[in-house]
Amino acid sequence: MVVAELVVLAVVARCVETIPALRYPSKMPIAWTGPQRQRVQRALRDHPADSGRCEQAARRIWPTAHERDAAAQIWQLWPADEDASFVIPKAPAGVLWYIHYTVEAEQHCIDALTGVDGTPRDSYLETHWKAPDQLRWVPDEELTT
Amino acid sequence: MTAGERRLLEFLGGRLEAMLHRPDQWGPPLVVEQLVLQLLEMRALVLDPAAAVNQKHRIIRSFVRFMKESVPDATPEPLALQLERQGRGAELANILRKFVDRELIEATGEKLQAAEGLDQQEQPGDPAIERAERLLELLEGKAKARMRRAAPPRVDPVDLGSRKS
Repeated sequence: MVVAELVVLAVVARCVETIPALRYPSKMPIAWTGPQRQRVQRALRDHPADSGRCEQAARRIWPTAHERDAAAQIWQLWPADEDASFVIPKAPAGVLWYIHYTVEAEQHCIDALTGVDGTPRDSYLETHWKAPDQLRWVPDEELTT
Repeated sequence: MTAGERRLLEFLGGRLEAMLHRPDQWGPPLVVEQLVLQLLEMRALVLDPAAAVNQKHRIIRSFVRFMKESVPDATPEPLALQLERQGRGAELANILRKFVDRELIEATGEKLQAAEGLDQQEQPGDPAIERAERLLELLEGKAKARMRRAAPPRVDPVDLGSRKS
């Protein structure tokens, strides 16, 4: 009985180690290496949220994100329907963006709103955006063409 | 094309011309930009009512791409705000005009080419011919607006002889 339990625990530990979905309990930051973190921080420092340069930040972050996650991609955020022109973040106040860009890697979104630690994708809209149900994800054209 | 559609196209063309000719009379720069984009959306809908693509998103996608070509270090923020930040606020109308003209070509250029190709086999109610007709109506509206602006104001002469003391 004890041996069986130990085997089960070992299998579960191995699954957690190898399956990204299980590696991050919901609030943990993305686990950059030291050099990766520095590169991402530099990109975010050069293109802060109130600069509007979210696309430039995303294009600089993506190669580093891709080192960690081969499926890393850049998303565009758009208003969900025809009745809005802008996407509005909770902070910084007063900005107006036709589109926003964010990088997804290991189930986290990373951009100037989340900071270097990223925000889990499934809570990203509610955490950082006004009217989160009025937004839609669009794959970035430059990466997909 | 119905008379109502024709009238609407003429109105849209004239209104766009008026806003770009004297933008300061239509509100702050950001408001002018939004009004122009909405008029473009309406124009695209009239020119191609059967389009399945979301016109607003198509126009904004095109506008963001256009801003990258027209403004150094462009961002997906309103053009008006970016130009103000760069001390180029006075250029908004000229740059918007370029986008308005380009949008017209994008919205109808393919249809015109298709219409030209179909000249020999013109069928009544052909969608390509109809859209080409809409484009011509729109250009006629723009031309009329320009002529109104260019013409000297009409002043009726005062008849001094009819005054009684």
